[in-house]
Amino acid sequence: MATSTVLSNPVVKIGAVDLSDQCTSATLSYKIQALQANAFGSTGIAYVGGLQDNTLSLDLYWSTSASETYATLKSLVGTVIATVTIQGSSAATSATNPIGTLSGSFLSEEPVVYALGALTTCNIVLMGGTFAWAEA
Amino acid sequence: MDRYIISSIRVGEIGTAFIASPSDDIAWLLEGGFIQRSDTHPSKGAKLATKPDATENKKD
Repeated sequence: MATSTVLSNPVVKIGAVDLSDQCTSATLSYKIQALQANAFGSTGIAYVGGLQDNTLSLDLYWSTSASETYATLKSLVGTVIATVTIQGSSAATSATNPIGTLSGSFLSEEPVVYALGALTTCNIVLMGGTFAWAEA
Repeated sequence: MDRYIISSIRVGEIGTAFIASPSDDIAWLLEGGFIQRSDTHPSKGAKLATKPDATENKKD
């Protein structure tokens, strides 16, 4: 049985900036709204596709060193981010290693969690935009 | 045309030319210290204006 292997070297980029080594989790919700398209005579609920309603949640370590998480995100809160890409492996893009691009998503907040005895983390949620997979 | 060199390993190999794509936000990359403006093409000996962030361990 074919299975998905545990990801060990996925790639997460915000624009051209590679944040993979600060990222511990990326949760993509690639969603298209389901619009009811019923009419008189319908005998069951019928749907058609509406707008995309995507979210991409990233769990990141919070580092304030040069060119790290803080430097990357500090000016992005409240803005539309041109592209964010995710990929299961750093290997070449292919049908078995597609790259997903979220274009035009909005970053609303940047919550940072400082906790005793734990690495400081930040979970950001990129909302909206359009998403597409590419295999080449 | 403005030229940029990479000053952070998060963007690529430090000291090499940054080839911008249409979606790249140059102002943001400059502000974050990921790239630097260059008056000289990297292949002709451009030098970084500030010390790059490259270390063996990217985490602080």
